[in-house]
Amino acid sequence: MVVAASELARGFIEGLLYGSLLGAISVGLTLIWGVMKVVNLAHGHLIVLAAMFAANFYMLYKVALLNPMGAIITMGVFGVAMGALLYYTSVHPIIGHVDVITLKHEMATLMATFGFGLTLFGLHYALAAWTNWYSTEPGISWSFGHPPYVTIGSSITIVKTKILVGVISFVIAFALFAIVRLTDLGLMIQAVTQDSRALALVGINPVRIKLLTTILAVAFAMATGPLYLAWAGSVNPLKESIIAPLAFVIVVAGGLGSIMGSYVAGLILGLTYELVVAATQEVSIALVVTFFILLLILALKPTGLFGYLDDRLASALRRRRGVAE
Amino acid sequence: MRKGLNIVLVLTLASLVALAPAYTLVSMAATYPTTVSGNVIKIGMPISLSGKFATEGHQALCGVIATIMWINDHGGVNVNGKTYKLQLIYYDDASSANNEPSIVQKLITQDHVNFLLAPYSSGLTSAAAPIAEQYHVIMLSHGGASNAIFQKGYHYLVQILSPASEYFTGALEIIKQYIPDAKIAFIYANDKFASSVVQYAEQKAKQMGLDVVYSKAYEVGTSDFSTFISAAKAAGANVLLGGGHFADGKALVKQAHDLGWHLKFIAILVAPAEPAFYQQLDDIANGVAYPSQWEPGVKYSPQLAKQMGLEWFGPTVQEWISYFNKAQSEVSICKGIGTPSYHAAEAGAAVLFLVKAIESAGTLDNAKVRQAMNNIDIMTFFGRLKIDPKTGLQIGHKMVVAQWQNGKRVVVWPPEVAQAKPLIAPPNWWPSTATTSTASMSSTSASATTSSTTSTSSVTSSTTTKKTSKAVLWGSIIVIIIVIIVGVWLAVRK
Repeated sequence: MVVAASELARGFIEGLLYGSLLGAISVGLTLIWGVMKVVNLAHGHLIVLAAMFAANFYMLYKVALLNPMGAIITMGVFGVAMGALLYYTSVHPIIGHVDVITLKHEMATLMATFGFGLTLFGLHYALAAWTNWYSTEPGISWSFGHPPYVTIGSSITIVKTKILVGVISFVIAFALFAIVRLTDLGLMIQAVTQDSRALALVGINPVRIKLLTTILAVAFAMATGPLYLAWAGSVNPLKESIIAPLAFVIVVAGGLGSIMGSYVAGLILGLTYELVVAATQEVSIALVVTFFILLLILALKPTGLFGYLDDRLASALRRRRGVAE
Repeated sequence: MRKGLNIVLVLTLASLVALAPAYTLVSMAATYPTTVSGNVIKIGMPISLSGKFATEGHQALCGVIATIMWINDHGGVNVNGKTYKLQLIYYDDASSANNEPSIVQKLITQDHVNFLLAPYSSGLTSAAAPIAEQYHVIMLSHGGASNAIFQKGYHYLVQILSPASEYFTGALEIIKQYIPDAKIAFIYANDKFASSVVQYAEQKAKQMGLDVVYSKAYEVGTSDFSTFISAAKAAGANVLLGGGHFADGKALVKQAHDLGWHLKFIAILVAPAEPAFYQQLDDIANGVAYPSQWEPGVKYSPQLAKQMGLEWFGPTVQEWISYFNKAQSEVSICKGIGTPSYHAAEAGAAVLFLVKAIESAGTLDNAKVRQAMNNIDIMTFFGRLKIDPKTGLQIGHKMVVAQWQNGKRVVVWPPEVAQAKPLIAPPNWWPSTATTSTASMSSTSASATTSSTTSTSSVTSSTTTKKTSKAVLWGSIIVIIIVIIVGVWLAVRK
């Protein structure tokens, strides 16, 4: 089967956009896992929760604050509350007052967040049973622009919604990077896991920083839920089993704790996937190839590929602003 | 640390409780009517009242209850001069094939039912059929469309609904008649049902001399179809047939529309039959057709039966719908189901076919009733019913093609039971060339319907764009405000 060059070009553009979305989906996880050493198994469930709520509420009330773009904000704000809830139920009881986090603590928080995630998963079905408006298979007809597509060259058509999602995904990933690497809050976040006793010595409450980190990670995760919804058009609770593994693999491949590293790893994964789909016209082959490449990355460089990205980018940006290292 | 573990324990327990509905075991038997005086014919039925087929299962169950209600109200079943009343005994199979053997066994050996109705879906029916065959009890398949089940040589399994091979026949007939330059693209799920439907449809299209330019199966669970759509577009396709389940069928339609694919005809399996399809897609849904076993608007009637030289049996369509509503108000399990879907109608028709066979056999003996079924050729509210004596496959019933027009589902094919003409080249799918396409469409006889939709759909599409741009404006204003607040907060904190 001969693949047209335009088909590959379309695959390349869609791959960049899809990769951007995957990167944004992963940055919340790399913060809580890489920086705070909490293996957040609820990550995928939180994203799906945001997408499910966004879709269901938009089906109910078609107002701007609930369309997928408005829902980025509403779900981000809702994520602040969910972040606090996650922290006080699954993180604080285990590592709230612990100075040095060991493997034992990591396992305990892993189990706790697992339980938290399953509760969210069950919540969808419970809501569907209790109410008559909540659907476990919600979908939206929202699309951006009129006409909803752009034509590049003669034969490449791309849906405008996807372009919007790709761009906003980059903004979200960069915003989290900026908060963590360019602000004082970010410095405190990095300090708290290194030595929370020393942080307390300089007059900062470590518990408060841990809470803020969790909130930040969850809010940014939930803000990407509506983006996923806008991309896919519909969502159901089982999509967690697609989102979560992707996010975990991307975070590890990008270098644990590196936000822009995760974003770039997401780009690579998205590009590979869409290019293989465009070349072979088979989704199943694309999945195998993509995960095989990630397997190779992890086998050859288990610490991830782009762990250095955050440091370099941060120091470059600081120099430009004239801030001393 | 201990406190932490306690909380883990509590959370895990809470999640198990939340997930409990997914693991419910086989439930207790229920009967309708609860008590019967005099002679009784017991019909057993495993049916999905929880799990993934719960919606279809409830519809099927209440279709059966409504039909039994009608039969019992109209003098019951006359077996060789003796009058019998019908009683249904059913169990919830939780949509799991693993539960079928034990339920069917229980129905036959403990509840001593005379006849069986199959569970919903091809998968569950093929799990239940071997047990019924073992005990030589007739099982009527009302939700198992797959042809494969009937190629296994079961003698006591009889099909009521049209098999998978018939699903796209009506759509192909419409294409043949209305679209002379049709180029067909099949994009469909690679599961058992959809792929066998398309496999038969491709053969049929070839026989009818139709041009198939693209055919591609996608993985179940695929949500992004842009690759397939742009390849089909590149191949010059102007007719889309396919789909598989609700979520993917809906996504396929939406993405085909968003990518500006100008289609003359779209027929999608399963998804458009759900009211949620229109709720979620709005104007995009208009013009999308789907094959259906039955629709509330079909015009099967005793007069039509007479024209075709067939015997009419059972309630009329209106009468049956009113009994379905009666079941909703009188039987608690049927409360609030809404309008009957084809899942209800095909299950109800199974009861009628059984009753007709019992009456013509004049006995409750399964072997003789099964023999009598071979000679039955009747018309019911569900349509014609006649089986292939050798395999038990349904050959009499004809599927209809329904289409979303102006937010309503209308039957458009076959012509003798249609409510409206099929809408070819729906104007909402041809936005930029709307005027020229209506002109070219007037050559087809669908012009009356299309011209009336042109005006309404253009109004709705312009309002949705206005709404969208307003939404984007507000969204971005709020983003900017939040960014400013966060920025100020960060600056002040220093």
